[in-house]
Amino acid sequence: MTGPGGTPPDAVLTALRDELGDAAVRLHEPISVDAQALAATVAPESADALATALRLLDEHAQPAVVRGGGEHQDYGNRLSGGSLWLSTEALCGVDALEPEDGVVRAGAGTPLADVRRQAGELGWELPLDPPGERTTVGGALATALFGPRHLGFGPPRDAVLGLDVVLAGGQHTRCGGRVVKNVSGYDLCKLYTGSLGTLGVIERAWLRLRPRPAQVQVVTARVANAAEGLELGRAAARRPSARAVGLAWHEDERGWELVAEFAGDDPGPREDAEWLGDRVALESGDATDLARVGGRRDPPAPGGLRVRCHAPVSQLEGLVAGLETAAALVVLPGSGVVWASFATAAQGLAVVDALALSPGGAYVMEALPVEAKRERDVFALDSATRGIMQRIRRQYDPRELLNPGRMLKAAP
Amino acid sequence: MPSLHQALENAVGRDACLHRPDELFVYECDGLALDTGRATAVVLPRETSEVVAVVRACIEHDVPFVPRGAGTGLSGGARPVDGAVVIECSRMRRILEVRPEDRVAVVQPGVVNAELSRVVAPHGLFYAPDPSSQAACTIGGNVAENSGGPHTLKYGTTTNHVLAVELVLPDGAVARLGSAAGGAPGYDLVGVVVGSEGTLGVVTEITTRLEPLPEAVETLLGIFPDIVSACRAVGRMVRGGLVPAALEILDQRTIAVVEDSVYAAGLPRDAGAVLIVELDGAQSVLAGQSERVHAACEAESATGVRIARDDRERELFWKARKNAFGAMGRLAPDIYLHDAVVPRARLAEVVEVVCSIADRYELPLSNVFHAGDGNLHPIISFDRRNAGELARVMEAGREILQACIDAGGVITGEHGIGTEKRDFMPLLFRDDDLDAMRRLRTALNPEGRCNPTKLLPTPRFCAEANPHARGYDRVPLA
Repeated sequence: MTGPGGTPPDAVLTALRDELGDAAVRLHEPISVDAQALAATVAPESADALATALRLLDEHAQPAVVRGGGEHQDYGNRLSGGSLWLSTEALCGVDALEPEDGVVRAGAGTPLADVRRQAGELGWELPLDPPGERTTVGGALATALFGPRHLGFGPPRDAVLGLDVVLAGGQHTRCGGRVVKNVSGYDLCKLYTGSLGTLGVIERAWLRLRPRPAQVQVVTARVANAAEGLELGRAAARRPSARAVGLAWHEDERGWELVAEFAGDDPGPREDAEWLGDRVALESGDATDLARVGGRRDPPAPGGLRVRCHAPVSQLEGLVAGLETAAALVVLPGSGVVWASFATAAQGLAVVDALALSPGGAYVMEALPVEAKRERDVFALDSATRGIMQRIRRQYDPRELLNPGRMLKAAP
Repeated sequence: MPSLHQALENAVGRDACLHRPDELFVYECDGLALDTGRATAVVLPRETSEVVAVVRACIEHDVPFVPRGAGTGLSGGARPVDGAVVIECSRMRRILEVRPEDRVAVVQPGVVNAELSRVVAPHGLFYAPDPSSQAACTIGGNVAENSGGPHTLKYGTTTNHVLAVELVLPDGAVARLGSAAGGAPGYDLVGVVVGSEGTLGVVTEITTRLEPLPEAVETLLGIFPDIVSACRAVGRMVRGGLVPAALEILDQRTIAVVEDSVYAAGLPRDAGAVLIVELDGAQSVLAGQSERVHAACEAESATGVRIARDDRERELFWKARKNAFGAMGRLAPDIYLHDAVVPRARLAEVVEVVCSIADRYELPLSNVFHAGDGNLHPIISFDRRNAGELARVMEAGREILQACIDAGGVITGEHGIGTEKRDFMPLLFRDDDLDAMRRLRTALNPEGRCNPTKLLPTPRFCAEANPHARGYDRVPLA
């Protein structure tokens, strides 16, 4: 399907240029993703342009790989095709910010940092904290990745009020709305969030903001072992103003680090930090300390593997024990999340296989070598769920032109 | 092949299968009494396996089926299309597991909403979504409608409290979706099942997320000269970053009818409107929040702010609020309870428009609503026996919905679309938007056998839109 050097056939490039203009289509040095290198990018500048681009790609049966800030380009199963990049870079900007209501609308290509800054100036904050400084609105929602503030913010789906999504055939659709409570029809916002761009391309989003807290206290501590850390961390996470509580361990360091953020109305955060200080020696910190309890604190070395596991909070001891061969661990004890990084994919895969045998919980292999992806599904899906997902995918992208293979692993 | 009724009796037992007309009568509608349909049978399964057997029987005999909880829904979601089998889940009412350490409870769909909170309360937990019907409505029904209630302002709706479901699909297969630990990989199938109004299958088990009971609660009653002032006070609180647990407004007509009823709570009859503000959380934080509430109310001309002195008075305020709809029976034999959401910044303005619409149609209108979410509940009292009155009520209702949409709002915040607002969906969504929704339904319910006629308007070319559709959805609202 691709032309020479990772580009679509000339006829496709010409059609895109004719309808979108030369500025929207460019050739460049190949940019790699998984086992392929793509040397062409189409960057539509509006919803109509995006719809036109997808319609043309559908007419020419050209699969596209969607790109936002490029922070999570390797997340998901191995791509099974792709003839060019479809970039959201020009779908950029906050076009509505309503401080009276606490809602914001921004294009998919808008860096989250821009939304945070503008909302912050008006006394609001954006309840999304995925890793990656260049992560965009579209990327944050398509991946549904999150950080340590998962405890206070809730999962990313909770921030989404409405979406503009262009489907694989070029249909420009809307779901949800701009209000904070809405049951008008099927909740397609939930369907698209976390779908890795395989059901449609998010063009624009209405997001719910939270009031910027009056008081914030970040504290850190060192604890001797996992048992102590988990007990303390769970209790800290249950304090009323707890917004983030994380534990981190690295094979090159002694013991575990606990980082906790308390945020809210006066005097709650101070009281909750004092409560924790009565139980463990604390040092004052700030928001930058939270990076050490985010999922990408220790990206695996080349050839390594990182897995994200979910378990009921009461079962975290058992889960952590099962991950003892990891080179690094980050735990969110209030949310039941563990990230484990392994020096080699083989080590990681052996552990993942053992996890899959245990009942309950869920896991995702967030990072692993592309060769390992050939044989393995990064998502632990049972057959009934997979079957339903396939039926849905066939309705929305029957020709598999959007990020093919990313969500539902293609046959090797 | 056995007859349908024999197959249903084989599936659930004779004592759980109803088919006499006098037995079926009570199932002809839900809380939307204007819209009725005649089921061919009602079954009351106790287990998932029985639901599967019923669905398979419906497939074999090519009849539609309709899941039903307590039948308290207000949009016709549980109304049977003629000839359907109603799968009534009230006998699936076991709380299967409570894990306080994980703040999770696993329940069957027939568990009553308030009962779940009552059972988990000794563990210091509660189930947060609290519709006004919570003494009767069921968790399964709550999942179907993504039910809300007054405390969704702080805690969120049903979709924020469901971690996993077991679903009997329209083809009779059973799927377990989501994860008790959260973070289930793949598409958010739980997220689309919640709020799908029973059109994607029958939910037979729900893993719910529980919240901790707050350390302290303070319930205030702001007293205002008119409803617009009360709405503006809400706007001040939202802008100021205050997130109470609940913000509810009752207007003067509502106050009068409640105070004349058994739900009387000592609300001031001469007030233009009252605003219930509930704060909860750490005791030390409430004092400062309470001051901010007082300040917002006083800045919008409140004539007073009462604080509930004890649990008894707090329960009185909530009894007045949650039973207000029932008290409306004192005004007229019929009510039409609307449900729409507008941006909170437009609340005062839209409430005035809604009142003016009712005045123009010469219909008595009361306002009781979740002001903190912008979720309006205009209530029109009427007597359908009066010539032309129902038609005026429907016309006024359509104008009210359009006014909400024009203000940037949507046509339902918690009651759902059902049959009631199915044909209003094009006011809010374009053809491609509705087509995107149809694709989801086609993926899981390709033959349209599961709860037809609900949620989506019939496309002009039904068979072309879905070649498998069996035409159950061509039945109009009665």
